[in-house]
Amino acid sequence: MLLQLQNISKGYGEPGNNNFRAVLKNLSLELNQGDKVAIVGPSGSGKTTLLNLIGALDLPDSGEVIFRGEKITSYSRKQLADFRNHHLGFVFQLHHLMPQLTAMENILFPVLPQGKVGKEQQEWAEYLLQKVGIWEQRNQKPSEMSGGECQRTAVVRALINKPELILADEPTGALDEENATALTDLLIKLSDEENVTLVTVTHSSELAGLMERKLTLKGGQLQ
Amino acid sequence: MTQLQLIIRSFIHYFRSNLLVALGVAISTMVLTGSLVIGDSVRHSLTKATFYRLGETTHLVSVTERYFRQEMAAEIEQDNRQIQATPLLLLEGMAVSGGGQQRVNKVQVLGVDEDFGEIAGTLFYQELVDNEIAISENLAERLQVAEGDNILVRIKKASLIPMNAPFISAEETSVSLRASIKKVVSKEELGRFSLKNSQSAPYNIFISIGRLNRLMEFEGKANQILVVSNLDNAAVLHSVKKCLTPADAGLQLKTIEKTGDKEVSTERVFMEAKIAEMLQKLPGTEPVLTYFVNEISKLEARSSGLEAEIPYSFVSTIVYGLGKNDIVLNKWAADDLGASVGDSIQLKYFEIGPLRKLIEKEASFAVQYIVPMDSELCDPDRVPHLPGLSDAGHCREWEAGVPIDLNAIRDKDEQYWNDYKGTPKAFVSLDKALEMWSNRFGSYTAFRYPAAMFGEAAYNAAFAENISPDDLGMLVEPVREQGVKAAQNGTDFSGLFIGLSFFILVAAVMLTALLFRLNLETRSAQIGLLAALGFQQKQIRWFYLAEGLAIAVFGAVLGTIVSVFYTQLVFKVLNTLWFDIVRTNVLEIKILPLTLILGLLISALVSLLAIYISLRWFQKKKIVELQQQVANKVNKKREGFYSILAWMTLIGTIVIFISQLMAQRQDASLFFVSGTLLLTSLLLFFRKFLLGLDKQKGRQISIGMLPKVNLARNIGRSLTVVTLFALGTFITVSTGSNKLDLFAGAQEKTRGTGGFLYFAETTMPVLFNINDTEKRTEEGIYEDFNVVQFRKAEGDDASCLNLNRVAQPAVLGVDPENLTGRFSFAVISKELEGNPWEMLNQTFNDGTIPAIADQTVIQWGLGKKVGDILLYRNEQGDTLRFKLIAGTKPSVFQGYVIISDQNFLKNYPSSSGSNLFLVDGDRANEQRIGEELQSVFRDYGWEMESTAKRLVEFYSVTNTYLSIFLALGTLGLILGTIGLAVILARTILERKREISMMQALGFHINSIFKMLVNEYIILLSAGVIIGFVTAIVATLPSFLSTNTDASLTTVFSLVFLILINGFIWIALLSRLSLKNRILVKGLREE
Repeated sequence: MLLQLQNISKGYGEPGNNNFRAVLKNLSLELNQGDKVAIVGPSGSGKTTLLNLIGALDLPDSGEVIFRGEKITSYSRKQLADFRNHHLGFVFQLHHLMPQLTAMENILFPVLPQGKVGKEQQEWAEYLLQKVGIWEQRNQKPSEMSGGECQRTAVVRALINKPELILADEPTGALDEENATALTDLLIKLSDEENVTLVTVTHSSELAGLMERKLTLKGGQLQ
Repeated sequence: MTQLQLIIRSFIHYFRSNLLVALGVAISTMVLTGSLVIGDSVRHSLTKATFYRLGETTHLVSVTERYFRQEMAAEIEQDNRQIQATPLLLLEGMAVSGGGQQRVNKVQVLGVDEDFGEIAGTLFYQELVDNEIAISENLAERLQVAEGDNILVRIKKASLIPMNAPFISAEETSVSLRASIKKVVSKEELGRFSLKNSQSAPYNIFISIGRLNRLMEFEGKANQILVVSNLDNAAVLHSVKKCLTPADAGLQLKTIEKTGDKEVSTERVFMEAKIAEMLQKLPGTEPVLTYFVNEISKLEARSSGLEAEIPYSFVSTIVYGLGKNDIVLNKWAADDLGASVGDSIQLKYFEIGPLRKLIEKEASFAVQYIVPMDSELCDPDRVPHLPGLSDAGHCREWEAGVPIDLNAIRDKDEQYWNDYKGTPKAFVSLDKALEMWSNRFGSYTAFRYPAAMFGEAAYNAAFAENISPDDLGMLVEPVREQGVKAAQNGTDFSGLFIGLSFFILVAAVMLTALLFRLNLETRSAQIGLLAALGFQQKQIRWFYLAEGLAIAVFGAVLGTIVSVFYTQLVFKVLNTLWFDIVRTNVLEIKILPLTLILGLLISALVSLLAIYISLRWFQKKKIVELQQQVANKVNKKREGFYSILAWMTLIGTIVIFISQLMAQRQDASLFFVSGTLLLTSLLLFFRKFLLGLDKQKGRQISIGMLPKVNLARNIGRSLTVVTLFALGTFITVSTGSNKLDLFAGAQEKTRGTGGFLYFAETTMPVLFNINDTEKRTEEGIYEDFNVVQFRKAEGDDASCLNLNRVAQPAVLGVDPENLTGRFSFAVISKELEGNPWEMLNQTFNDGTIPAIADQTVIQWGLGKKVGDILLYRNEQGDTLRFKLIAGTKPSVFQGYVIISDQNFLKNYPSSSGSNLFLVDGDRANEQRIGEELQSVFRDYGWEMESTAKRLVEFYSVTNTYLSIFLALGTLGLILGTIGLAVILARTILERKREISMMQALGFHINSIFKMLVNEYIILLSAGVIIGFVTAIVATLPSFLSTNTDASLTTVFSLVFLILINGFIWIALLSRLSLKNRILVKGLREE
């Protein structure tokens, strides 16, 4: 078992107040190595919230998040940061690339919390860049690249630390159909090749259809 | 929706961001308007001080070292009904209270009559009788006395005869009076009355003019007339000239009893040249010169060992019939000497040099004939009136101003005195007498006329025709106009404070531009959108510029309101902490609406210009760049220009710096220029460095390179922070290093102290040479020291302690030999060869007199330069041209113009003794020497301070200016820090997604904190290092000079403080912005 969510609840606002809105209610989920899961649901159903909890970007109000048998909900902030860096890869709707860095630098950026960029990581980055077809753009800055190229760079960045779990939040949301398809193919292909678990939050039925499992978030529960 | 509505909505929507920009504008407005108001207020206060010191007086009729009839004032009024004239007898003195505990020297003693009350606007002055006095508030405070108390007043003895004139007793130099204080007069009652252009209040004692006359043994004399009139100066002068009589020139007309002839003599003993010239023109004139000789002897008798000498006699002149070696004896003298026609007679007499230096001279004659005692020549009236001599009952009571050996006086001499008084015993030719006894006070003692040829009317007419007030040194000046002009043209505090606040202004304007640009950057996508929607660039510019205008006006109005409080604060500090530069308590705020409007408009316009430049720069970016929020786009042409400029300024710096280091005479201002060039160069190189970081090929990503890459992301912002800190450090360090330490090396002769121990001034002149051994024994001076004595002709205070612009500083006369090798020169005239002191004794071909002054006085006090001419009037009313041949480095002479004693005496012959002294001696005995001098010269009003302390007092002004500069520079630095803080906060806000993403990627919060701190520490350090290095280059002479307290410790402390201040802000803001950051929010918010 790679990840377990046990009776997770999460809401916004002050509990007990009128403005409190429960988003996730006693939600549980189990993920194994290599799973490809799509989480769908209407806007405001809590998809991103769920993804943030899986990615230790946020903490649940109650319940546990267990990664390889360890409760990450009890981690310190430093441990959480290390956990994200070593085990997770993120792909956001907007690429969130560092505008001041080139594509290659952006890809190698997540290595920095571990120290210097080694030869192995450099080669790995070069391999991935070639694989996703943006080798030519490696020295360009985000402002000099297209949206699709930026998003592909973001995917490669998510893989640089060889994570066990990739979390993608509407990865194709800002792309045209052609680029969206290409990126979807890329995500699946890479996660297959690297045996990485892929969890994606999406509105795209096309993307969801390509995943092994499709979970719908409704009323704070996964169906 | 109209465009105006759009602008208003935008202004309101972005109000918080706009408020920050407006605050930048408000600060520059506050500083600028505040400076203008300060200038207005100082001008207003100085003008007001002019009215406080002059009352209703518009013109002044004045003489120095002489006196005229008090009635002249009434006669002027009668001559012209539009003139109101008040006589005044103005003397100097000192006041003592508390049994000697409190002592104030340099007090003005003013003999006033009832009319003075009209000038002062109070009737009180006419109530002063006998020994009653009124004193000014500041004097009452210093003496710790009140109305009804008694004080001792010692007044400098005024004399109708110049005190240094031959045969005038100098025993009595002051007159004492125990006076009762009837009133302490306020400034509104003319308590601050002064005829000098200075804002500092003098110490005043008012007494009735009649009483003061009696104390001086005068009758109805005055030396000033205060005029109130709307007439111009020429009209007043016309009346003065009309009312001027021979009596005002000290001339006395009398009939000689023996012959019935008329004689014109002078109260001054010796007739001045111009008057003599006039009197010689009258028909039947017979000039007379009578002199007091030490001995008349018969040479033949002396060689044969017989007693044949007559001691102490008067010798007079015969105009015609005698050769230069002929002498005529009266019968009594011939009998006494046993002399007959043809015998050789010798005269011994004193020639009186400066400071009563006596040189005994001899002259030999042959007896031509002998006159009987009833001859017309044997007339006691031939002897001028000499107080102490003429009025003595016996020879042994003589006080002649020269040493008299009473043992030499025989009984028969006493008998002669009883029978004939001073009747001359011998007569020589006029030519020979002139050759022997002509002196700086005059050449004749009287002029005689046969009664038949003399008409009083003709005499008066000749006087009126030939003698003008100028000839008597009588000046008529429009003092109110001059005072107001001096106040208006005085130290320009507006310019001064704008200069002192320069950095704060620059910082505020830069901050305004920066904040506005930050706003634009935030809204860059909006600008791109407007362009995408089809708005013309011009329309977009106007849209944002209109918003900028609203911000500028809002900020300027805000700043104008705050400027009033800022001015109040500055005035509060000026009247307390910075009192040294104003030295008056009459400073009051004057707010002119026009000044406020002017300040508001200038600030609003400057700020709008800054906003416009920001906007233009921003608009040069392409729409796509704006939408993508690209910060740097390299313009190769511009970069090329900047590159050339960077190198050129660097080369310029090196050239100037090296040439100055090798130069014999270093120019501090050139060092400053090289520092400024270097500042520009280093900032441009830093810009290049940032650009290089951005374009660096093959760079390896690492934690360490992240801050640098981030800095290069927005070069404009980074450079603004660096510039602000570089300027701030530059100003602070260069100012700090220029602070003068005048105690350093004070004992060296080439320093501003001249190596002298003490600088002293007296109220009463010292008439003798203090270095004279005999005189020392007489006065009880036993310590070993040397004194350089200066003569002084009064003038305005031209030191930096006076805020008014003066034209004629006080003149000092000195034997330049005494100053050779002393002091240092800042500027020496290029025409000059040799030591400037040695050149003082010369007179140029055109009659110009060489003069030396403190360079600070020349430059700031007089607004002149070395080589320029200063115009003065000498005692005879002639125009004097002083050519400034050199300017000394900061010295104790600040406020004075120095000429040679020789030239001084030629032009101010009536000058009596010395009033200013420099004391040289062994430093180990400094205290003992000081105590002795204080004790011996106590009654002269001896005021003494160490030369080093005097320098410090002058330069406390310079140092205060530097303190203000430093304070305002620090304020500017705080603004720079605020700029840094704003940029930091804004950047962190803009980078919240980036920071959240970094957190998501596993960066720990501490790593992000370090990255941010490192980024800004690089900027802070770069700014401080650039500012520090350039400041050191700019102020190298200060570091090399031991005259300043510039030390590495001082500047390092300053730099350390700047760094610490910057670091605290950086750390605090970074920590605050990262604290409680909700990671998800950053990622979610687009």
